[in-house]
This record gives sequence, structure tokens and C-alpha cells, in this order.
Amino acid sequence: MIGINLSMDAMGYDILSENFENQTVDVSIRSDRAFSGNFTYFTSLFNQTLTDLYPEIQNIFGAIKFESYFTVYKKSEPINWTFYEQLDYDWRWFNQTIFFGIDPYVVNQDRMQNVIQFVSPLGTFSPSQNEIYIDLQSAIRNNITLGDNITIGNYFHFYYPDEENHTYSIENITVGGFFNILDDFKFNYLFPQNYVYERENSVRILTSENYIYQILTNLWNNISNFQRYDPWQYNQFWHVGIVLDHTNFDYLNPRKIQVFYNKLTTDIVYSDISYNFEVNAYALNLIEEMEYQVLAFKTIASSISIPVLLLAWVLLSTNYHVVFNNRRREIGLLKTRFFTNAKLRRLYFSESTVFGILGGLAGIGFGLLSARYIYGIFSENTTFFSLISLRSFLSSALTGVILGTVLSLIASIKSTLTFSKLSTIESLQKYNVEIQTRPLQIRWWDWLLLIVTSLSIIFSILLDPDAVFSGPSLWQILLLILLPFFSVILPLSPFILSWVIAKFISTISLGFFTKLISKITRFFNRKTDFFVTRSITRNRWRSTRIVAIIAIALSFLFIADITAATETQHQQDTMFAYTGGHSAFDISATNLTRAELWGYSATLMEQENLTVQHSSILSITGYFDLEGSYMSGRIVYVDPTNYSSHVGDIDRFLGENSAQLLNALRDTPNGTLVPSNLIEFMGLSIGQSIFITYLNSTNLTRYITQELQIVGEYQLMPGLNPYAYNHLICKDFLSDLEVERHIWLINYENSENIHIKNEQVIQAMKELHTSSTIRSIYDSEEDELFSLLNFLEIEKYYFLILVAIGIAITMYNSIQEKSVDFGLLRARGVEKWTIVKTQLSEGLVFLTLGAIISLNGILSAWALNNAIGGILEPAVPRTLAIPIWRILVELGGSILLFGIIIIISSLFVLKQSNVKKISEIFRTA
Amino acid sequence: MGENHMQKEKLRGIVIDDLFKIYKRGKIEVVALRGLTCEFDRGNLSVIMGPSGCGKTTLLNLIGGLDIPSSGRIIFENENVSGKSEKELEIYRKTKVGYVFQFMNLIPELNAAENVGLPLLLTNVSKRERENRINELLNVVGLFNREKHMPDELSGGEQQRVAIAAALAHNPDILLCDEPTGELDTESKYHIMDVLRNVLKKYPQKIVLVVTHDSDLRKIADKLYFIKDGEISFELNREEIIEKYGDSVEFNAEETIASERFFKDYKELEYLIRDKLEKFAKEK
Repeated sequence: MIGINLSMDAMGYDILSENFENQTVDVSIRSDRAFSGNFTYFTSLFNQTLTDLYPEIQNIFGAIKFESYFTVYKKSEPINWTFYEQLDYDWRWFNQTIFFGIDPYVVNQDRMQNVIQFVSPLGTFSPSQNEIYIDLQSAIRNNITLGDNITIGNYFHFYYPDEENHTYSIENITVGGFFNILDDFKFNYLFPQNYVYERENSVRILTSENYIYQILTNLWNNISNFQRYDPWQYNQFWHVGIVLDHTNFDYLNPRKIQVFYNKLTTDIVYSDISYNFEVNAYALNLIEEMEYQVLAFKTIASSISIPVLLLAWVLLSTNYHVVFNNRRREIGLLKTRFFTNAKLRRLYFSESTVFGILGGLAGIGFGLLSARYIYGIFSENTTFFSLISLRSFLSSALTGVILGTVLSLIASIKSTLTFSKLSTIESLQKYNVEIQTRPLQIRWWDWLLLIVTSLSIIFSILLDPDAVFSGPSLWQILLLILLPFFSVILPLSPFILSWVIAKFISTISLGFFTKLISKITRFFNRKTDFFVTRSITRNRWRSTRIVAIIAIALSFLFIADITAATETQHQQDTMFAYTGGHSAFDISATNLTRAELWGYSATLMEQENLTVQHSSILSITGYFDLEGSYMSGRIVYVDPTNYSSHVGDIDRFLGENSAQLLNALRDTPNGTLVPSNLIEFMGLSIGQSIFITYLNSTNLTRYITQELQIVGEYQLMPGLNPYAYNHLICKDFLSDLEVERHIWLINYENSENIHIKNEQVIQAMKELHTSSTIRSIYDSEEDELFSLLNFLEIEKYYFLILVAIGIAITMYNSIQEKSVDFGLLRARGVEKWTIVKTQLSEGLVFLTLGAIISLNGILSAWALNNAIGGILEPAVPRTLAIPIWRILVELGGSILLFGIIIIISSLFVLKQSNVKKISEIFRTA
Repeated sequence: MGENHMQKEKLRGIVIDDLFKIYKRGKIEVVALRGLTCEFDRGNLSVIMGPSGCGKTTLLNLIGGLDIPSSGRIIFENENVSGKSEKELEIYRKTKVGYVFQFMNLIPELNAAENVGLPLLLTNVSKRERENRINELLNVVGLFNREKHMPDELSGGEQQRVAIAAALAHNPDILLCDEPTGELDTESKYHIMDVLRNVLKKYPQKIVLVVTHDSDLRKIADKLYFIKDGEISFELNREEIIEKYGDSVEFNAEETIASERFFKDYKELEYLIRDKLEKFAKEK
């Protein structure tokens, strides 16, 4: 538990500090454009108010983002608006442009390195007056080079008072450099709250906030006479960003940071600056998110540890019983010396408290080491120990010590109460006899546990989530009522059940149990089978415990293996549903055509050092107009050759007949698939030709007319607006058609566990000079899952080691108890090895019985995974995966480990039964 | 001479020659046996007595091959037991020695017959032979009808009788008994004493050594040894014992029990009469 606490604290520290260091801006303050004044004034207001109060403030900067849909570019000449004004305006003639104005200090910070890259001049953003930086792909597309003098024209369409076009140009703008935005998401932190949908082929312009202010002032002066404007055509916001120095943040105490940010936010909101601000401290969301994440991990990790605690309790209580029993004589003597029951209880409780504290203290060292190990699963950071603060260490250590003490005390209660009330005569006379023949009784709660745990397993196996919600029936209502109860019981069921079954077998089914053991023993040791059998059955209490702990450990092994395999299988199934067994990436790139995206993929492949097939399977490209109608829509490119019917995004369009439709598409030149609503609306039919016009993105003035033959129709998913989703699914389109979104498959030679990492994407973007985003489907979820499965894996081995120690201790006690028997046998000339063999047989019988009982773990794993499926209701059904070979190998390994422990324990008999020892035993007796 | 010598050799049992045993307890050396020398003949029941810590049990353990002497020799059948290796001692114990301890002589999870038969089972004796031997031995100790009883269903005396049977199971030449009557009531003790005598009657070539605090056991002794400070203080043969203690020649448990009961009743009667007389005198 100390290990889990410390590692999770360190992980929390790690996540939080890393996220803080990557934070482009700590606090953003937004005011709408009604603000009058310039940036210097605007930022100075905050400077005056906040700087003295908060020494952590490194910089307060101004930023402005202005978005305009209708922008054109000309090099070294004014724009001739005649062309645009003569025709009805068509937005496809224009670029959408986003103007960013920002303090160079902010974008030149170290923390912006993976957010924005300045290509030329390399590394820094330092615009002089009238200078802009433009994103590299847009510059290439518009044939703009460094130092060019350009004109940017804005076209406005006003609806009121009369529908009127208006143009405005800014001339003599110098292109001072190029950049690529590497992480759109983080870059937008600097300019939050967009109202306008940002298209991937937008042109991005970055300049100083003062220059953009100057441009906008002119613009507003120019168009201020118009009373109405289309807010979707352009919008602008003033931003003030605050960058803080994080050096002194205590990431292990997120609450403190939270309080700090809350105070800062409140101070801004309630400051004397009387404007309408919207303040956003990203840190607050981040802390909340991180706390939730760490808490979730901690809860899962801790709940996985519950079986370990249960096991520890079993071991401790067993040992306390053995130890107190060995001290019966001492109890008798103390009682003759006037020790009362209460005094003895106090004495033994004090002892178990001391043991608990000592155990807890010893656990600190082990906890530190295991924390380092657990932390290593989640993070590659090697400076683990520097991440543990004294506070975290002390609180974890204290938790460990308290837990150890409580566990020790609880485990000792029964033994302490039993032995402290022994009468003097009883304790002196029955020395070391009772433990050897300790009986076991079935109590009412054993029945209760058996029934509840069995029911929880059976219930969860029978649980059919679809049936539960499909319609009202008594059975389903009952299931619904019982679901929460059994969900809580289920995780513990296999362990409790192992224990109860072991107890029932050894108590109730005496005849069966004895016969079973005789048969098993005969297999191991033909000569002394009856001796071993009786030895096991005479101390059913001890036998039950050792069988139960073996069963608990092995059932945990089954559950861990099956759950991990099922979860991995489920992830693969889900991935397969989307990708057809390939690795899929969803790419959005700025101003890249489909052909250029191939280059993109090639670059990524090069980084992976893999010679692989890769196929572009789905690209959402530009818009089309359907001739003879007012219908328009978007063209979706698919590659029917490499198409997989499992690609979710295509299936969404094509439905169940996707394979058949794509076959038709492949076989027909210029074939297209048309949504059924369009066919119905337009009275079209399969086999008919349609004509569409679309704009070639490389030449904005050129319309292309294309004939397409309808080869099939597809149904839209229910709920989608058929007019908004008029996608024509085609092939054979120009490879230089601009792509907005692209789903792309990579056929890895070995597709397992290969992921393109974020750093590689950034590297590829740098090399391709593009601003884009790419994500592998389910990437982040997979990582977290992977970590948890790894944790389960560690827990499993940790558990097995604990059980091995438990077996060693119990076997040692068993041998100690029987040392007189061994001495007697030796005195009668029985060979050492014969005695070793009897002890070994006993251990192997325990092992066999434990292994048989542990099979309930398979059922429990089935139940557990069914319940997970029932609770999570995944889109792709969870199918139980039993990794038979893995289980067999690990089972073999565990049995081997336990067997070795048993052999070592049995060899202890050798020492116990050597000649000198025998005489000592009898002398003592 | 030849015949006499052969006879003597045959009857000659264990020869103890200048036996020393020193235990080391931390830095302190405890001399348990201090040059002890004596002989135990076949067909004899020898009782060894002496105060606590005089070395009685140590001597028994050394003879039984459970412990190794610091120096000196234990000669049995022309072999020095004290010079044997652990493996040889194991064979020696298996073939030559039977042990009866004061308590914990039986394995609790085995019944009387199984306890007797266990050493035979572990030494590959056939099942029929084993059963015959168990029956024979339980007969010798008078427990033929208790063969299926578990140890905790037997009285202390019966347990010890089963222990004697178990000790004799593999037909050892030497039967070593360490305080065999130590935890028993008087009647059980006499039964054990009877059994020990019976053993020699049935198997006259055996050597029976009994270590005890209980002076009653002298009644069945052919030879009585007193040990003091690790040495034989004095030894008495049967005649000397009878002469010294006035014991009868033959010990018989039933007779002894009956006479003791009579004696006890007589004593009680005597006290009763005395009380009555005193009361009568006072009244007068």
C-alpha cells in the first residue's frame, strides 16, 4: 500500500508538472471587441493590478485573434476586386484566414517548442513593424516567399441595410518568416473561445499584437458604417494571457496550487478594471483532471491490492494462532503468577501492536522500492526519488504503519481472546497437543459467504446486459436490483469462495476428502499415504488455510490472466472494428493534398524504419454542386482496393452492404455511391449518370465538371441531417484535390504494439513543413489500459511471492509441530528421506487441492468480465479470452515455485530429524 | 572352554567402555558422562537409576544411537556403536534398537495397530508378515482387542504398552525405555512392569534397559545400576536387590496390585479401628 501510495503521488507529480511545463499560458483573460484602447493600455491594467501581488507572474501579454473567411492574397500589387464583384460571391474563391497577434516573448518560450516551429528565420519569432509570419504550407500554396511584399484583401458581404459587398485591402505587408503549428490544441490556448469553425486549410498569419491592432483599427474604421454584419464572416477578441513561473509550485500538493489559481482568478474578476472579462485558468481544469486520473488509478491499484491484504490477514492470523499455541506453557506459568485474562490480553495485544508497527516500518523500505517499480510502469522518468516529497513520504509511511498495525491487531484478536482465557491447568496440560488436532467448524456465516459469493458469480455469468434493458420482466427487474450488490461482492468472490470451499471440503466432506487425499497422496508417496492423509486431516484448520492461500493465489492468477487477455482482445476487437486489423490514423493537415499526404505517411514510415504497405482509405475533400439542382455536398474519396469493411467511418456511411457496394465502386470507372435520400429526392436510379462541379484547389478560379455513374446507394445513420451529409463516395479523383480529413491505414508487417508516437508526428510535421494534427485511434486509452494491465501483472507476481512466503511459514509450523513425530520415527530407524518424502507428499497434496479449488478463478474471471461488459456496455461486444498456454505456463511456474518452497520446507525436516536433534527434542519434551 | 566362551559371547550384550559425553551450552561445558564403564547382558532387564541430571538418559541415547559420545566406546556385537556414521546408526537403530520414551511415543493420527506397524511398513515388510507381527506384539503387551483404537482413546498405560509393542515391531536386540512409567498411575505402572518382564520371557535374547526415577522398577530388574555424576556409583544383581530391599523373587503385577489393595484396605481398616478405639477411650 505504501508502494501504491508513493508511486501514485509521484505519478500525480509527474503528470501535473509535465502538463504545467507544457502549458502555453497559465491564465487567459478575454474581452470582446467593444474594448477601446490599445494593447499597451490593456495589458498595463493587469500589470498594475497583479504584478505586485503575484511575484510568480513572468509575463502579461496581449493577444488577438481575428478570423476572416474571405481573404485573398496578391504579391506586390493591389487586389483587383472587379472579378469578385462582378459575380455572385462564392466563398470557395477565398481562403479562410486567421490572424494571430501576440507578444513574441510568449511564442519564443521554451515551453512552446513542441507547439509552434519557426522555420525561417529559424527558431524565433521576431517580427518588425509591418511584418507578418505565415504558415509554410499556405505560403507554398500561394507562392509566397520570404521578404515578399503582399497585399491581403478582405471581402465582406453585408446583409443590412441592403445586401452589399465591401472590400478592404492592406498593402505592403512584408513576409518576415514562416512557421508550422505543431500542436493546434495547445496553440489555441493562447487564443481561446473561437466562435468560428476552423477549417484545416485555413491560412494562419502570425504577427505582433500591435501590428494586428493597427490593421484591425483601420478595418473597423473602414467598415464601421455598416450596421449589420455576418458574425460568422469574421470575429475578433482581445486576449490577455498570463505566464507564470512554475518553479516553486508544489505539485504534490495540488490543492495549494488550486487555491493559488482560484485566488488569482478572483483577483482578476473582482479587480477595479471595469470590463466584461472572461477568465480561464487552465491549471484548474488540469488539476481536476489529473486528480481524477490519479484517484482513479489509485483506487484501481488499491482495490487490486485488497486480495493481498486478505491474504496477509490469513497468514498473520494463522501465525498468531501457532505462536500463541506454542506459548501455552508460558500462559500457564503467567497465570500461576497471578496474570489475569485481561492482563494477558493487554500483553498480547501490545505485542501484536508492536509487530504491526515494526512490520509497517519494514514495509516502508519495501514500499519505496516497489513504488519505484510501479511508477516505472506509468512513467519513463528516472528521477523517481526526487519526486517524493517529505510530506508524501511521511503520509504514505504513516498509512503503511497504521495499516500494518490495524491488520496485525485484527489478525491477532481471535487468538488473543482464545488463549488468554485458557485455564492454568488447561494451558499447562495440553501443551502442543491441540494445535496438532485442531478441528474446524462450519458456522452460519460460512454458509452465507458460500451462497453470496456463488450467487454473485453465477449471476454475473448469466447477466445479459441487452436482455436487462430490452423489456420489463420479473427476472430483469430482479437482475437490475441485484446488479449493484453483486458488482461490489464480485471482485472478492473468488478469494472468499476459495477459502470457503477449502473449509467445506475439509470439514463436511470428510469421507470424500480423506479418499481424495489418499488417492492424491498415493500418487506422490505410495508407502506412507495413510500417514500423510491422517497428518493432513488431523489439523484441518492448518490444512484448510494452506490449501486456501494456494487456491487464492492461483485463482488470482487465472483472473489476472483472463482479464488481461479479455481486455486486450476487446481492445483489438474494437480496433479491428475500426481498422480491419490495421493501424489507423486520423489525420487533419493544413493545406495538404491527398498526394502530399502520401509523402507525409512515407515520412512517418521512414521514422518507424518499416517497409510496410500503407493505404489511404478515406479522405474527405472539397465541396461539389450537383448540376441541375441546388444540392451540394462533399466528395469523399475512398480506395476500394485497400478498403476494409471494418473501417468504422466508412461503415457509418455504407452500412452492412459495404463490401458489395465497394466492389461495385471498384469495377466501374467514375463510379460513385450516393446517399439514398438524395436518390429519392432527385428521382435518381442506380446506373444513371450525374454531373458535379467542383473547384480545383490548386487553381481557385477553375471549376471542373465531372461525370459520375451511380453504382449504389447507402443509408445514412439515423439522426444525421441528410442535406448536411450529402457525401458522394467516389474514387479516381485527382490526387491534388485538397484534403481536409483523412483516415489512413498502415499495414504493419507485425501490427502488434507498434504505435506512432506524438514526437514522431511532430518530427514528420517539421519535415513536411505543415501544421496538422494526427492521432492514432484509441491511442491514449490504450496507454492507460496498458499501464493498468501491467499493474495487474505485477500484482500477480507480488501475490505469488507473498503466497510462497505464506506456504513456507505454514509448512515450517507444520514441521515444527510434528518434530516429535519425526524424532519418534527416526528413533525407530526410519530413514531421513522417508520422512522428507512424507512431508513433501503433504505439501504436494496441499498444492494439488489448492490448484483444484483455484479453478473457481476461471469461472470468476468469466463472471467478472461479463460484469465489466454489462456495466460498460461497449459498442463492440467483449468476448472472454482464455490464454490457455499463458495460464498453463504461469500455472506451471507458480506450482514450481510453490513446489520448490515445499521442497525446501521439507528439507528442513532433514535438519529437524538429525540424530542430535532427536535427542534434544526428547530432552525438551 | 570353547563352549563356555561361545556361551559367554552369546550372552554378552553391550559393553560400555570409559564413556564420556560433554555438552556445550554456550561457553559452559556440562559433563554428562564421566568415563562410565559397564556391561548389559542379553536376557537381562537392567534398571538404571540415579538423581536428575546424572546422565541416565544421555547413556540411553548414546546406546540407542540417538547421540554420539565425546569419547569412549559402546561395543555391541563386536562393533563400536560410537564409531558408526549417521547412515550406519540409522541401520543400527532400524535393526537393533527399540525405543520407549516417557511420553509422545505414538503418532496421534495412527491407531494402535498402525503405530506398531509403521516401522515395518517403512522397512518394506510384506503386508501378511506385518499383520502377523502386529498381532503377536499386541498379544505380548495384552492389547489384542484394542488394535483399532486411536492413541487418544487409550489410557496412559495402554499407550505405553502400544509404544513397547511398536518399539519391538522390527524385532530389535535392545529395548531402551526412558522413564516408561513416568506419567502413569500405580496400577498402570505395574502393568508396564509386567509387560517388560513378559518381553524377556517371550524374547530371552533381548537386552532391556530401563532408565527411571521410580525405585519400584527394581522389582523387575535383573541388574540395578546407580549412576551419580556421570559414573556408575554401584550396581546390584537380582540376589543383591532381594537381599537389600526384601523384594520377592518374581514380580507379578496382579499379585502386587492385589496385595497393595489389601495393604491399603488393611491400613484404612487399621486407621478406622484406631479411630474407633481412640473415640471409645475418650468416651470412657
